[in-house]
Amino acid sequence: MIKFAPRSIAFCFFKPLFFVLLLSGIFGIVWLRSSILTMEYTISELETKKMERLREAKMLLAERAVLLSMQKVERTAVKTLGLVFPDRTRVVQVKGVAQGPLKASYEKSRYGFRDESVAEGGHFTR
Amino acid sequence: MRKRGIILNTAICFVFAIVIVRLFDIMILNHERLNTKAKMQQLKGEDIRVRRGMILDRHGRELAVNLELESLYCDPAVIDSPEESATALSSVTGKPSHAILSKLSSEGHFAWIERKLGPDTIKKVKGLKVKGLGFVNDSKRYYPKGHLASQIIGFVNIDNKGIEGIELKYDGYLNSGGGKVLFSRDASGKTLSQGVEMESKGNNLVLTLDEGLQYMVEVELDRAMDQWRASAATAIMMDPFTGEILALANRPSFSPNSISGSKNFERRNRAITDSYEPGSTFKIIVGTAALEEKVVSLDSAFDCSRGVIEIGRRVVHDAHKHGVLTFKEVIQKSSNVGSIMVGMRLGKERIYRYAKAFGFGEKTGIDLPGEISGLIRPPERWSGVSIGSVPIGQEVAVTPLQVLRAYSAIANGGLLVTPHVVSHILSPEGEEVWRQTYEAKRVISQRTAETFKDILKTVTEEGGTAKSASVSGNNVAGKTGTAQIIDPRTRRYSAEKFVSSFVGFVPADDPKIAMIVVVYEPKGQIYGGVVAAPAFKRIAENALSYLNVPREDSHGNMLVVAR
Repeated sequence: MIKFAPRSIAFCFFKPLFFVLLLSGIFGIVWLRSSILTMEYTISELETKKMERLREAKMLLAERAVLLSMQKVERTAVKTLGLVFPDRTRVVQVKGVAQGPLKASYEKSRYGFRDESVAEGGHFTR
Repeated sequence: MRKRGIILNTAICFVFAIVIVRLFDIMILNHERLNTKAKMQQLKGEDIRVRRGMILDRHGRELAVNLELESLYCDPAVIDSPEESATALSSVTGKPSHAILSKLSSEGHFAWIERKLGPDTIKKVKGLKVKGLGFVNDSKRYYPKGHLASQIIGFVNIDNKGIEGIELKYDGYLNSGGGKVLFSRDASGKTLSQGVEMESKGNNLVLTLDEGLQYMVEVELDRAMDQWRASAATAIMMDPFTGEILALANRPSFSPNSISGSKNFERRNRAITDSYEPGSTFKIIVGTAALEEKVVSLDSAFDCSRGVIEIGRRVVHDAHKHGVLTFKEVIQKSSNVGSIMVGMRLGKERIYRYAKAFGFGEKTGIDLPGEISGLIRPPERWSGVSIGSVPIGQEVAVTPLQVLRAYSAIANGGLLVTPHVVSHILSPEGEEVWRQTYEAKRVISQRTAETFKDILKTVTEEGGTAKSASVSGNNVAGKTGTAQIIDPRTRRYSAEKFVSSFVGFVPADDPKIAMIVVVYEPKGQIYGGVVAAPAFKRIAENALSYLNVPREDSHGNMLVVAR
């Protein structure tokens, strides 16, 4: 253990340093505590805002669901846009196949290619 | 000077002594009491908001969601002038003034004034600045599609507990555990975050229903109800291979958003809770049993030329005289006489065994509450005339779902599937927590199913009883049913009240949908081929377009799109 003479240079140096460290430590703890408290307030406010936004999101989700209901869509399509449900005889069925660049063609009986060739990438480009 | 010092020191010591005594009192003697008091002032308990999971259709379209609202309460002890406050609140909430006054004048420190108020009303109430009022966050179940599939989805009570339908059956999954969190708060009442999620969400249910198909079915049911001025109607659409219910609707119906305005009979899911005598649609039992047991062949002849058959004292008629019919024609023309003859060849034990095998007299196991099993009596309890009744669908009670399930077995090659409406369950984070597994058991051979399917196809062809069910471009296999209803007063078959039905599947050779349409007590016409079959046709045509099922005569017109 190092012992200092009461009036040694080391004692004169370490004594103020000790007080400075002690004071800055106390200040640091107080400052840290107050920062945490401030942050807790901030988080609390943000949480309240988040709940508000979530509440709005839920209301909007419900509104979207109402607007996208089949009844609404049909009403708009028929009354506003004047659309009609298509006659099945005039519907061209679409058959999606494998990934790759978009190519389209009528079914094999018309052009005589095999389904597999289409699935592999096809020979006919739109 | 010294004296002054002594006085000052004594005073300081005295003051410190008082402080120490007070601290001793606070920290040691009254520690428990004051600590509790401090906690009550500094801590604020708040309930974790429990929110039910959503109910979605098979494509993720919302069928049941939650609205975030607020509930209004009061502390009667703090209310200054109850009469004035009640009048003011009544003008804003629309609730009768006397009802509010009774809450404001009640005993204790808490009473609900009105639950689940909308944002506009809340704003107005806050504007009144009535002392002693408080608000609690609350959620309200909301069904954005209104009447659509209401009897399947069901509804909840004021406390968001499932009462009917899916909401009841899967309440345990939809609900989640709640709890309470304690928050520190300062003198001004501001709370400090505890880093706890204040909302607990239930799991989301994904149904097998398709909103588009459901809408088509409901539109056509409404049309059939209007056209035939019927007392009720039911339609079910199912994937015959998996048992997935694609659409299920009943009329009359109700809106789950306004339960108080609905009546019990409107809430009933007739597809599974009501039984009826199926009539000719039940001929599938003797038909398939006779083929499976090799009691008949397709060309076996039955003399139906008299148009009647006597069973004991009972005389059963055909709708029209047919002459000699082959087995195939017996089904195609729905001859009662021919079917009874086939039934007599089979015998009551075998008829009963096949009826049970097809699931009649037992619950189908659908995941909806309130299903009944229907009734088919065991052979030892048959009367002398039962052999003339059961083969043509009398003396048995079935649900529409049971009939559809039996026809699905023909469609899928002989397997009896388990109907279900919930496909899988997702956690709030979107992870799958449960998936429906369905069982299927073989009831007839694939060969018999294919043969009978061919017979059912002739029903919607020229000469069959349901030409009006045929769909342009695709073969339909199905069967009509016209059954009399027993009059509860006379306990005899009514001459005026009938149940008309059509059940079938389409496209017959590669079925995508199996469907039953049942119309109760139609006026003007009674036959299933006239009343129910056209509704089947219209729904099927729209559904096939919606499902992108090509016409069987359009092979040259398919646009192949490849990437």
